[in-house]
Amino acid sequence: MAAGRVLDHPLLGPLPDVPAVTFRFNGQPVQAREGETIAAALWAAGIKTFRYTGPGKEPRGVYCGIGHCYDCRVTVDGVPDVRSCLEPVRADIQVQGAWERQGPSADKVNGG
Amino acid sequence: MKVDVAIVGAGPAGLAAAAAAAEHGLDTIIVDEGFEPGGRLLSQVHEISEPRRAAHVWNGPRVAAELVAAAKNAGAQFCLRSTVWGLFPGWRIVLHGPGAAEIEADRLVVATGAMQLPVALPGWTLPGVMTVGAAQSMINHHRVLPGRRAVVIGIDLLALTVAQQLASVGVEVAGVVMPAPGPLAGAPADLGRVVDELLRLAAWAPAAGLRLAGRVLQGSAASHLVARLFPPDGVGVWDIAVMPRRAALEIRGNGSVESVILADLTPAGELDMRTAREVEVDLVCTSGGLAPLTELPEIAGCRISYVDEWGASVPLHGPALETTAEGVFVAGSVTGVEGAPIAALQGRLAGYAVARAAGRMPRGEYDAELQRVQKELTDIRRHAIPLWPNIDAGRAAIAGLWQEARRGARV
Amino acid sequence: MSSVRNHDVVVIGGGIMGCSAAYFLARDGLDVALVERAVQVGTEASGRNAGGIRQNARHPAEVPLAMASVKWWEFFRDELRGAFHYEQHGNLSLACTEEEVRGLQQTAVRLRSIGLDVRHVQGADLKELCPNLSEMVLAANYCPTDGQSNPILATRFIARCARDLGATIYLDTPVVGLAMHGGQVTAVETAHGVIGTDAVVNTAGPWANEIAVMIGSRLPILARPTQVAVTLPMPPVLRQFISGNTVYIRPTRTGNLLVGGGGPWDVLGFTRENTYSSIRRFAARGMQILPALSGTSMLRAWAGILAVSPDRVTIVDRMPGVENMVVATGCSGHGFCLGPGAGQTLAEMVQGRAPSTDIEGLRLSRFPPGLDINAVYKTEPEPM
Repeated sequence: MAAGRVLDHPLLGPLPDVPAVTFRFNGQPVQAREGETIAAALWAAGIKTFRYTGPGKEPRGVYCGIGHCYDCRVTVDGVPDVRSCLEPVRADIQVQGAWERQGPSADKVNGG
Repeated sequence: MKVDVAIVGAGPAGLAAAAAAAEHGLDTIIVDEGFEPGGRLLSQVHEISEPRRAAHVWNGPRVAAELVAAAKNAGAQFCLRSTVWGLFPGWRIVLHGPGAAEIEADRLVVATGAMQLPVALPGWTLPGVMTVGAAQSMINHHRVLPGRRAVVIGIDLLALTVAQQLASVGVEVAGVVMPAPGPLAGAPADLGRVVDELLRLAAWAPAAGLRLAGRVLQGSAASHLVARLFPPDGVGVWDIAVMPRRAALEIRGNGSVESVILADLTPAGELDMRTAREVEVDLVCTSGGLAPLTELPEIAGCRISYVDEWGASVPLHGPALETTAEGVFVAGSVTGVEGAPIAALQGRLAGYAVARAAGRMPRGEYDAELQRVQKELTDIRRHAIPLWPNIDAGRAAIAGLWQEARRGARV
Repeated sequence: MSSVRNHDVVVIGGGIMGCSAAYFLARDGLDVALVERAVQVGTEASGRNAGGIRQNARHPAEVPLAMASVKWWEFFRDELRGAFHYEQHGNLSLACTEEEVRGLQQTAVRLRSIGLDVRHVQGADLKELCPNLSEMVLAANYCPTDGQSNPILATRFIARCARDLGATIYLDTPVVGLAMHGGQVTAVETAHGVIGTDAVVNTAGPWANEIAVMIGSRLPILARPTQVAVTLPMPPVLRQFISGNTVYIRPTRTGNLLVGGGGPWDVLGFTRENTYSSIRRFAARGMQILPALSGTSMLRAWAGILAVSPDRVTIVDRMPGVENMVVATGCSGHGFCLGPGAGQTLAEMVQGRAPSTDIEGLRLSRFPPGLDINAVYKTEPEPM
């Protein structure tokens, strides 16, 4: 998967070979490198929007990249609010991005 | 789980503290929310050129691996992928992660580092806008290209370093510009301050023009006069166009970053809207300055003090890195941002202080090590590029505040 | 402030009670000064509570004041166009045991007899109102006109309204003394100067006793912290403000839920610390009544300091021992809603008018003379 990767780093050298790992993001398959974070894998695959927020459905994704801002949060195998910039990829995990809307005034209350 | 000392943060300071404490026989655990120890070291790979030294490569991951090995060899345990969400008296550390939910420790070393302050402007939440730290992490740690054409907003050492790194991996850097002035823009938009910063860095900058300007004007109060020297198209620093006379007004894009609106600044720092134009980019990196992450020390009851000289708040600490909370020590960027080598030395100091407090390090040995480490700190401070200005003045201010706090306690 | 000023009335304490009192006094044409020790109004309990504006689930003695207050809250929102997120989706007071169910039924009867629209609901009716409560919840008392707001915005809005009507607000101005002459307070001494005045309103919350001591009097209140936590945003799973099982939960406009619930296990004093036991209790007891809580994380927690009274019922009265001071305090964690009604009542009392709302159950005379609250207040173990 060449697009979006630093194949030859001027100081670290060529990208080492590591096994490929496949997982799903919003149902779509994503190829990743073993040992990398979900955020890195998505970004390398050209996916910049991880979730949406607010009634305006604003797209959000990586902002601080190191686990402080929580803007990159996704649901992993049903567990919500996982920081994709900290979470390592694993084979076959189901990663989803939510659309967080407003409280009870803006929407009907869903059956939880 | 019960330990003698728990260290929060596995960056250079935390790792060094873990080694120092464990080497003296303390039951030591180090906690980090990442799945790899090393903190910001994992993202730091760059060339360093300091005056009177040959250019060399700083390989953060390699330094991290050495520090991790030292900590492990000394017997420290690691608790990774775990976020500390509470510090309750006892000390009771509560964690969110795959392992233990609670750790009991007699003493704590909080080495939580610093965060990047945001630069907010219309469009700043679009995917494709990120901190310079995020871009640095993507390139160096994850080997991912953050974009193809970038603008960097905010002019400081970190911004220039990352701009250079972006260029080195083939990202076209349209320029390093200022944030637009305004009531929320703060210090990063202060043109005079930025010019002072550039002049301060001039001694190290491998850009002849900047060095010359620095020698001539260092110490001059005429920052605004100096600002006139910068043409709106900027000066080259490490082959990057640095533009203290150009500001970013707005980021635009449908779903992700597509362009940024730039306009020139007059030498007095005001926007000249006649010069506003749209520049195509797919990446915007912002550098708003670094702020110590003081939440955990604060909830542990440590007094947090504002240091005027730095424009930042840090946990108030004494010469042995002890805080106002019994048994809580701090080390690294959380005490003031000076970079990894200093952080590691502070970590050792904190580890020694914990060992001494626990009765595991004889007075003579502690004093000798303290002297040795302080000498190393002085040496490094003399020749390294400081990330923050006014380091010495700030450290002196903290020492003064600590003395005041001690006097207050006795009354 | 220049060192000596004069105002008709000085209101001490800029929480919801004080800001409301300042509003109503200014509305009645008096020259009122509000003095607040902090740099902004509403920084203690009034700015830290969960924002509930409710008539339900309180002692009957407070209900008339609560009902009057809700009318004023609607006025602030609708007539004065206050944008403080005030929404009225209802309040549910929950029963999780048969004994609690019986208690709720009796309470519903009692409150309806005072004129409150509150209904006892069970089974399918409860399920329709609040679909995501667990099986543990057997019944609820439902008040449809109850709701919630952003308490910081609300307090500041009322303060602004007071200022617009001519009230003067002195911030960062602690009161250090009160001058008396002939059984009246004649001046309020602050850290920045003296204010000569004809009347004083004591709405200093947990500091109200400190103010009372300045005139040689006492108020039976104690300072006690209470804690609140907030979650990350969730899909809408809850519409109403609910309370039961030792906790309360309410939704916000942005999808975060607030979870809290203090009690006599909170250690007395002027501290604002979160405890591990309460955080765990909010999570555990909250999930027991609203299982969907397990689908989110707690973002952060905070605490605020309440004034608790011996019977945990609000105090609104004239100050004993002085002719021209009135007081409202001791709301014990449920005072926010009562602010506007109390403010109106205080303004009426200052001007020598009989209160238009029934506050007889809130007077100090309900306590035996010489009551020492320190002797009667009992700390209890925290339920787990």
